[in-house]
Amino acid sequence: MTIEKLLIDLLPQVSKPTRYMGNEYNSINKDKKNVKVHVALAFPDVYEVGMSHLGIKILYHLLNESKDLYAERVFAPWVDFEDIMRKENLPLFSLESKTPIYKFDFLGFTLQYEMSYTNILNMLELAGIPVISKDRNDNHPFVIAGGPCAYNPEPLADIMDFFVIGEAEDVVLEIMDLYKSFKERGEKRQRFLEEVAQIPGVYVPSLYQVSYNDDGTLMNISPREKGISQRIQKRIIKDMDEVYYPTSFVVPYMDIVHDRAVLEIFRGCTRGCRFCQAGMIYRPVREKSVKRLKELAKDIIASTGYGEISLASLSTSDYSELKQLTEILTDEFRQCQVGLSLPSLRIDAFSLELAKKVQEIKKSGLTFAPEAGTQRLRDVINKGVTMEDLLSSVKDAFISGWNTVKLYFMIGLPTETYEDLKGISDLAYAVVDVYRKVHGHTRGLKVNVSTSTFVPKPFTPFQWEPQITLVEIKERQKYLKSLLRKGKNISYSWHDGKLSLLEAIFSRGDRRLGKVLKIAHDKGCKFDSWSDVFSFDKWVVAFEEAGLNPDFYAYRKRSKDEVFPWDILDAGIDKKFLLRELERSKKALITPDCRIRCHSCGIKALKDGGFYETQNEI
Amino acid sequence: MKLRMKFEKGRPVMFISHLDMMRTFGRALRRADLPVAFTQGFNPRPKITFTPALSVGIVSSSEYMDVELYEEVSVKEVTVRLNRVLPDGLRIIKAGIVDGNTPLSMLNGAMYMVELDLDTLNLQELKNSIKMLSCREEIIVEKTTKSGTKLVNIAPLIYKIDFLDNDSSVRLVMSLSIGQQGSVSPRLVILELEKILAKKIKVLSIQREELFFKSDDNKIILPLNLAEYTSPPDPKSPL
Ligand code: SF4
Repeated sequence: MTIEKLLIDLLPQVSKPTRYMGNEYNSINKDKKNVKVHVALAFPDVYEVGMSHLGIKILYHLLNESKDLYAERVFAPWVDFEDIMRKENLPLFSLESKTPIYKFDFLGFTLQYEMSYTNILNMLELAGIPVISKDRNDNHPFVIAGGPCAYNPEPLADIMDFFVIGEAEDVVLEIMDLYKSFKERGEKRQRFLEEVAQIPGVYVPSLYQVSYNDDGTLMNISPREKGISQRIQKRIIKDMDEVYYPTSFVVPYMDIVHDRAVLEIFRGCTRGCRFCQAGMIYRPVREKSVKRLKELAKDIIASTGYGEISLASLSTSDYSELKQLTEILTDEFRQCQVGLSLPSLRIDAFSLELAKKVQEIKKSGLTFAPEAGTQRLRDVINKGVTMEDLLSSVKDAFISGWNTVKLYFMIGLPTETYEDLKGISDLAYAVVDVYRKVHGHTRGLKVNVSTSTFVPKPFTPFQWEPQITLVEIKERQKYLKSLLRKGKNISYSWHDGKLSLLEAIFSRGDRRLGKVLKIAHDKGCKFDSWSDVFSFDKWVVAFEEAGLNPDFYAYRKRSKDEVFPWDILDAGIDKKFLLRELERSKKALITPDCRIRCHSCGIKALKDGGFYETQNEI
Repeated sequence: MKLRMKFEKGRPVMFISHLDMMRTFGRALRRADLPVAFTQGFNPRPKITFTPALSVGIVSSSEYMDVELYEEVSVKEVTVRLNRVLPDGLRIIKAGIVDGNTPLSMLNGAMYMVELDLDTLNLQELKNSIKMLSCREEIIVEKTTKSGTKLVNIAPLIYKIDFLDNDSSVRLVMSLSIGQQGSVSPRLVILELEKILAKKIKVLSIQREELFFKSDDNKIILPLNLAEYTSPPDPKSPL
């Protein structure tokens, strides 16, 4: 029986059958006979999460543009369907042609968050592909990965055959070309790995050896053989107007997390918040032009029929012609009732004006992310928001009719004291006071404070810093709870500290963690970011059995000359710049936006000319 | 102008929910670039109405929707343009102008074709069980609603069950109540038959074949009697 037929019997037994059905409008079906390379694009989470992610969609349509390439999608089956698959011996299959994944040429994973790693192992197992790279043979697909977490590839070094570092649009096509010729030549798997390692931006971990110091830190990662590059430089797209961007996006049936058309307006961010990995690894800033965006937007709506289009970037307000762009788009779409949504907007007078105009004011929810409670700590992390800015924006918002405010903070930032935590609470109460001043009462007001725990990330100025301990996380959350409990209009939610701890371990971990992952997976860990499935106890045991100490990874302050697992990569950011930023943070000195002054972060060496023409370096 | 369209929901989309389907049509109408009228106010919605929800997992050759347009477009053009941009498994079969037709919300009956697996059944026993079920005045079942479970008598909701057989298959044609006065799904009827037979019945497929309005004097009115345009069968989406 074909998988297709089997599904008709099996799917009525699962909670959301549309996750596994495929056949969405604009999904692509090709005759496999005419295809030279068959690629499965995988997102290690459920359909509705994976389908909300832009990167995988760009690659899907880009690859399918070529006649002889066929890219299909696959997501992690939810636990109910997994049980059935195991019982019925149904191998993991692709959404489009329902082909077993083990039959593909490539299986490519998007790495968006560390806590999806166990799902990768689980998907490999469900696909019948050996979980460990060296156990695979010529009959297995190449298992590859890319995305932000690939900026520290080492925890997955045992699992992935290779990684793509940086923006994949150009490099995937180079890989496909190489593979076509490799297939024609009929050579061995190992040979392909050696050849693909020659493509800039590709990292083949099995071609490198790792040595450690007595204290457990890295001594070095180096190529096993001559001719393999010492350092892998990230790939970037030079011209955002020229680069491929899809317009016929797949339109899901079910309600997914971000159910709207997505228009990427620029890449990169100039603000330089010191905790933020995205702000560093996606440099330099490159915008699409208003003209190109207008064309794309029209085509996307025409071919998807979405009723909402969302502008995507790290910081929407920083698009240089935002006003013009939003005016053009609202004019364009007024007639056909397409709304515009502007996420990641810095809330200020201008953006409120904008928000009022473009979004039939959804009066629920305005989000502010001051990240830290006091000015001192905001200076430490280089988040350029002041209390005055915030309160005056909040005031404007209240006057305009908003009554729900979300405030995002991080706890455990370097140098944080209880004074700073108190600052979080003070800010929340100050917001309540502003509402009272505007309306004379606090009826209807909701202030939702939420905190996550700071996770030090590679390629940020805080990559040398420890995370606070689990005990300390609980203490600080408890303290905040006690402060915020008294506010009638205030609610407080927090991110599970155990997850933040695991994130901290894997985001800066080394190759040895592969063993932990394997054991955790064998014990049944999966969907760790889903609180109803997550089991911290299993992880604790996994570390014990692997003989690795979690504290070593999460709580250790690194010395300035320590070799990091991700040093093998060149993200275009100079370590000297990161150290400078670390020093400045200790003195609570802010570093202005790159548009005001260039701080010589090193990215100019990657893309000549720099992105802003200022020469006054510090 | 208001249009009524009859459409099929085939295998490729058999697992999408009613809500999914409504969203899908909303987007297809925009792709077709049709002048769909929207509701006023904060959250404008396209003016589309559908027939009562079909249970997930059941295919249908007879669903209906009404769409209001703010400009005149010929029925044929609407149908052709919409069919061009519908996903596999959804297809407009025919369409006409709504003009004093029964409102879709008033439909109270549905006819289902239920195909059963021959191997596991004794035909005579099955026939008897249908007769027994049809004679009963009271068939009490538990129904879970938002407010909890309650007991419902489904006997008056089962209009008629016919039996069709040939060498290769056994099919039941069920006319069942839908809509506000109460509805019963063909699966529930099968469950009751299983109780009488004291064994499992294997269902091969269920298809909704027609929706209708049954008046108090047992007259049957179809939602779309006189279609202005009937679309040619699309080989791309077999049911
Ligand atoms: S504004 Fe700050 S936090 Fe946001 S993307 Fe830029 S650097 Fe990161």
